[in-house]
Amino acid sequence: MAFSGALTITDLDDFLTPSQACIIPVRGSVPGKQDDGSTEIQIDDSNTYYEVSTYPTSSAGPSSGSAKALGKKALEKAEINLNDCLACSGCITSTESMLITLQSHNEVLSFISESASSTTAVKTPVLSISPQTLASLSTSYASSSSTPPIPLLILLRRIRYFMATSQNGKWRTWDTTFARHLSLRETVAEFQERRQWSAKGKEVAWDSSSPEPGPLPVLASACPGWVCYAEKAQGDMLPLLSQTRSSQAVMGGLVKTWWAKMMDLSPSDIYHVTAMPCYDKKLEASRSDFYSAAYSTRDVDCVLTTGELDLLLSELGFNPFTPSPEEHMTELDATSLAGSPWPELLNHPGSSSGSYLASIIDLVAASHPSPTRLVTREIRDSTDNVEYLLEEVSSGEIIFKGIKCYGFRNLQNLVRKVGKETGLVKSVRTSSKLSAALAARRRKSRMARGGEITSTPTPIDSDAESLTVPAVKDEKKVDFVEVMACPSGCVNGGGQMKPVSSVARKVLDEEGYERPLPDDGTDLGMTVDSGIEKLPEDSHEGTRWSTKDWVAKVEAVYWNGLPTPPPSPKADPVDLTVQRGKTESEKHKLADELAHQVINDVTGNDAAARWEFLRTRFRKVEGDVLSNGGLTHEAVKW
Amino acid sequence: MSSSRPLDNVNPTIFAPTSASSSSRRPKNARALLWNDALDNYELDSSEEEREEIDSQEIFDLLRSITDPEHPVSLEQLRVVNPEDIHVAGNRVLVWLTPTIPHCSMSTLIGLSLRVRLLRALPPRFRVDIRIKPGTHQSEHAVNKQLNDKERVQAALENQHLLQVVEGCLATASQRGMPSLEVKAEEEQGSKPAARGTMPWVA
Amino acid sequence: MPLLELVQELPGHSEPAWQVAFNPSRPLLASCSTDKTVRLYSFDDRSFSDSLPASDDPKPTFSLLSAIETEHKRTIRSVAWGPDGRTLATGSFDSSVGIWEEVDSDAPEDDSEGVFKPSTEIGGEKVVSGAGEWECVTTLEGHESECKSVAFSSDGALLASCSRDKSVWVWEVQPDADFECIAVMMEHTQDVKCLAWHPKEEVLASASYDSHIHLMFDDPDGDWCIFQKLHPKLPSARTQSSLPELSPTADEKAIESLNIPPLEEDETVWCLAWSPCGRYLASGGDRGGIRIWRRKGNQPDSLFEEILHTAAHSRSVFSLSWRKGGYLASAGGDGKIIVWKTDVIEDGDGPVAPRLSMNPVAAVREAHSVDDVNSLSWCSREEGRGFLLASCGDDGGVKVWRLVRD
Repeated sequence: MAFSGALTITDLDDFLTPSQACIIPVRGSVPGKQDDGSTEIQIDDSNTYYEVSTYPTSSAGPSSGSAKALGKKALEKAEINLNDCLACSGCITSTESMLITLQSHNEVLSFISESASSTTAVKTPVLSISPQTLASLSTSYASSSSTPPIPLLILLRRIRYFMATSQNGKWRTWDTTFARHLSLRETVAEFQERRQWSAKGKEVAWDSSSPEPGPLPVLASACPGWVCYAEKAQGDMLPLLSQTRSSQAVMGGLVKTWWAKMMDLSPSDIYHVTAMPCYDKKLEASRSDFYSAAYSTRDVDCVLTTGELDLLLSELGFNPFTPSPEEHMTELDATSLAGSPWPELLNHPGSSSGSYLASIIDLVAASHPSPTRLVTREIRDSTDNVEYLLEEVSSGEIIFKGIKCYGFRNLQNLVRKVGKETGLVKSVRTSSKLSAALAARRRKSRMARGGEITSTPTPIDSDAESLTVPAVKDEKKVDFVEVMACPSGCVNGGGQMKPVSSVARKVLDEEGYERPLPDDGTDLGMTVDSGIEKLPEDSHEGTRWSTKDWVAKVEAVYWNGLPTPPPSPKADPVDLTVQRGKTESEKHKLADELAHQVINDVTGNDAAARWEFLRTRFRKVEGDVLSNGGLTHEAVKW
Repeated sequence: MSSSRPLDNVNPTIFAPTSASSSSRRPKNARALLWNDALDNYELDSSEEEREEIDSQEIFDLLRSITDPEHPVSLEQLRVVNPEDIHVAGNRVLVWLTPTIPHCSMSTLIGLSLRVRLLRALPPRFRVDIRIKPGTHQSEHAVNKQLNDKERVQAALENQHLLQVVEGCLATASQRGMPSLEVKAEEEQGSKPAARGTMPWVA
Repeated sequence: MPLLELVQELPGHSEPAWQVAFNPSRPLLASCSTDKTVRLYSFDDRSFSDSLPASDDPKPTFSLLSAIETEHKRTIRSVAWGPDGRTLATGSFDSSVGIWEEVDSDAPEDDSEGVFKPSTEIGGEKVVSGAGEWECVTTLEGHESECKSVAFSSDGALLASCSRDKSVWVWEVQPDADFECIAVMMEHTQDVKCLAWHPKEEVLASASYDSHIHLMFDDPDGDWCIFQKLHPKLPSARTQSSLPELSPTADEKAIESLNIPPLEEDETVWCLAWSPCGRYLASGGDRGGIRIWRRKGNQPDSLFEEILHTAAHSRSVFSLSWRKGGYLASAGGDGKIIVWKTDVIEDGDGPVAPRLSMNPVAAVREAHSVDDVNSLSWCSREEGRGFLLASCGDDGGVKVWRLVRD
């Protein structure tokens, strides 16, 4: 199977290694015994297993010939699907083959070829592309052809035009920014709920059919790598996760619920493919919350990474540099193949990973009665770990503290910090002895610093309790964290395109290690003979997938390649680059109106329905249920 | 329900076991027969028995009745361990292990079982090296390296799940090719004979 | 030729002991074990000389101070002291790292009433007892599987840990027993067996089952990163030695008849030790050889080259410890402890880089009876003080040796 160059096991595992056994056999339900009549298992021609009672059941009349009347009961097949695996601490990260076969560009290719040969009605195909994917593709195309990057809107429309041809199966191709718009609005709403709910101190009962709001701080949950890690390794953190659906999950609902209704299609008649910067989006799409039992369909049927979309497009013969007839249109018919039912490529300033924190800051600043000022502080000079403090200008009081936290390392510290602040994670054993020891230490260090103890000295024994609370007590606690598992966030996702230039310059040495070719190609003598390998520049954790320069390029294309045409009714082609930003607020207004309409169309005024449409749940994955597990490969690995 | 992964080797060749024991020293030293099975005895007698010679047949007897992790048959019956593949010199023991199929993922587990058995049964002065017989496993070198890493072995023995599987394999080890003897020994200790024929983790 | 004499056999562990570590600033020795305890021993060391003691010089006396029952759920594989001697880190197969501090030893006397205190005055200097209660002040989680080594940097500002999960983590020590993870490096392809900080600089070396040694530093232009991956290349040279302990035993001769094939895969690097000057790094391999790597410059990221590979032990080298004066001690699965004298050979003024010679000067066989020796530690508490070497083995025993002049 041809994988994208991006795919390795380490890409998939997001730093999680498989634990011991597949636990599905253990969790499989054991049907309750109804009577003691002995039974045996039979298998029929079609490989169906039946449990057959050796005594005729009393209800079975002699004339009855049905299997049921003979006490024959078809047994349910035990199936282990991706969703089981998602809910498991076990082996998902090592069974990448399952992911690849269920959700691969080959799957999409075979869908296209089946549709082409089929005479009966086929599913309506929809392709939803994330803006990070477009930025990565555009950067990659530009690098390999030494041309300026194609603006994202143009690229989106060229892909749309190409995929809409009947030879390719008449796809609808959209971007996911309107879905993100809905997700951001809901994130803001949820934050407000939770903030007010915390302020009330829970003395008031939650008066709604939807679940009670969670506590503060809110940790963004749009990154499926982080969600996966939290569910497996940080179960105590789950109540803090934002319950708002990610843009992919909202997109799924939009397409399969709202758009399907609009087009008078059944959700199961739509084949919905998304293109995402990250492998873990495949896992997200497989979550049970995004499955409709009524229609036996998922909100997203198949997730491709950027690399896989690139493979798909190139196998279909897509040339990104071929202009499409409609790429400069300013308004497109919402229902035609060439159009979009919602605004295209909405710009959300903030971060290239979804701007969740920026949206919250805007809300808090806008709703505060007096002017505020935003102060940012890079922790340890890292752009992946930044504190955002919103200060009231007049008093200097900090009214909001947000953190942008990207990458596994920063995530570790976040978990420790938030765990301490909230008391959710018991990392420190707080015995009275310890607190005394800590107090003594703190006292000593304060003395050492010049002994300015202004407050009355706290007696060690009597007030040990308060002393165990670390120094952050007097500091503002965190309100919201934009968490992403990848360093540099989604533009640097594991499924993104690899740097074009540096790949070509590297070779593998005899031990399989990457080594840059020396410029003159000859002077290898010294380093090879002594067995010393000078490393390529990009060996930092911060640049896990690719070089820093490459990520910076993608980031730049992400922001600069988002020119949006004015929504004016004029059909004249406009110079997209100069129009950028002018009508952004108008676009957002339109998007807001449409968002209202969509939510109203889908959920009416029903809070519970609204919750289901825009929110989701997280479950702690228990790892320690291996006692009777099957003899799996994982079980005996050591 | 299908609770387990498919067996690596669905249909292994099973060979008739050799006679219970051909060790020349067996008859004259019945106590050694229960060496591991009465480790305490060994401790008591260690001074008197300081340098008792142990030959390859003795090692084979310790290993032959270990049960295969996938099948209710002994390693001897599967010819995973063979008397001629065991070598002893001084305090060093070399055991060649022959997996039934070249991609057997159970090889590390079988190797671990052998190691644990010898760790428990042999006097501590012995150093054991276990090797996959050349050409019988597609990743023999990797398996060899892992089997001879004492830190990995120690960690594996602290993995309760894995240990349970190993104990299952070793439950029959004290038969030493002589099932009846094992039963008798078990009876003496008042415990139930180990269930033979079915391994609890194989559906 | 000097001799390695047994000073004392200490009350050891009930299960294999994995690492011993002398406290760098106080007369304390720590050991850890599969029995999940850390044992602390105190001692009185009256030797001040820079030269080797004589055999009849008074021997220090060690006594068990406490056996800390930790809350680790599996083997404690590694134990390390902070340079101030007040913090102890433990790395366990349960994947966590424990940080231990002595409960306020400056507290009023009545606090420690009833607790045994060893001699408090040595040479007019007040000796901090270490007899207080040791408390686990924090636990560092994050590794996915067995933690195999922990180490504090020379100034105690950083703590490194490594694991079977192939990763090396660097933590910054913060006030109030807080630790912040500042780097996770995942470039080994197999278990990371051992970590060693440069004796003066913030340069970290890691050794792995994948047969590589990685060298890491805090890149001024970015994050912590690996600046060199060392892979052994030199063939091993036989050691010429007249030490009777190093001549093959009858048993070792018998083994040759077995013809045990060496493992085909590249050998695990089990252990590392920096020379006190920081210019050389020693590594011990699974096949019993010791390699010496020389730093080629004075920059933090100066590259290293392999300059020496000596056959040393007949089984894996599990531990190395390098002491001032050029004494490098090695121990391994063959049950031997060997002390090597290392000397820099200056080959005139030419461009030839200084070479290093190493010769065995003392050795003991069956240091822990028939069992493997897992760890060694020179007492380096104060420059030139004593020539004490601690060892521990699979028998759970902890022993202290002294290098004496003949």
